[in-house]
Amino acid sequence: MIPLLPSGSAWLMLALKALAAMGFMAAANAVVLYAC
Amino acid sequence: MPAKQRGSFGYWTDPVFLFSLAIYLVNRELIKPNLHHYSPFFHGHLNDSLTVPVALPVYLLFYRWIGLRPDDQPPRWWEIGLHLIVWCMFFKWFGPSILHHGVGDPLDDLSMAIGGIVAWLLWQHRWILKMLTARKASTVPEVA
Repeated sequence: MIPLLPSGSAWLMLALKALAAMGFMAAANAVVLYAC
Repeated sequence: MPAKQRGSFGYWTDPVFLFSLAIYLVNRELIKPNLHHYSPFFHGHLNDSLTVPVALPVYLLFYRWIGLRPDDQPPRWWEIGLHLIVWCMFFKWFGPSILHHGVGDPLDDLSMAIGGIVAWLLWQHRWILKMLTARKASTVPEVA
C-alpha cells in the first residue's frame, strides 16, 4: 500500500467536500444570475 | 503545502473585494437608475468585470469553511481560471440556453477575464513584486 495515498474514508470525505462545493457553486451561480 | 498554513487573504475583509463590491453597489443603486439610455458598459461589462473580485472571495470562503481550501493564501491563478471557465459556461451558455435567463455575449466573457486578471494582479502584488525584485537582483553584476 502506498502511504501517501489517502485512505478510503479520506477519499469519501474529499468527495463529499467536492459535492458540497459544487452544490454551493450551483446555488450561488443561480443567485447571481437572477439577482444581479 | 501544510494543511493548516495561514495566509494573508481576508476574504470578506479583503480590500479588493470591498472596493469592487462598493463599485458594484454604486453602479446598481446610483448610476444605472439615473441613466436615460442603455449603456453597454454600465449595464453589462462593468458588472461582468467585477465578477471575479466580488464573487470569488465568497466562494473561496465557503471552500475554506468545509476544508476544501487548505490555507488562506490570496486566490491563485488556477482558482481564478477554474471559476472563470465555470462562470463563462454557466452565465453564457447554461443560463441563456437552459434556464432562458441572460444573454450569451463573448464581450462579457472578455470583461470577466480582464476583471479576473486585474484582480489576480492586485491579490498577488506582493508575490509579483518579490519575483521582480529577485530577478532584478540576479541580473545586477556582483562587485568584487
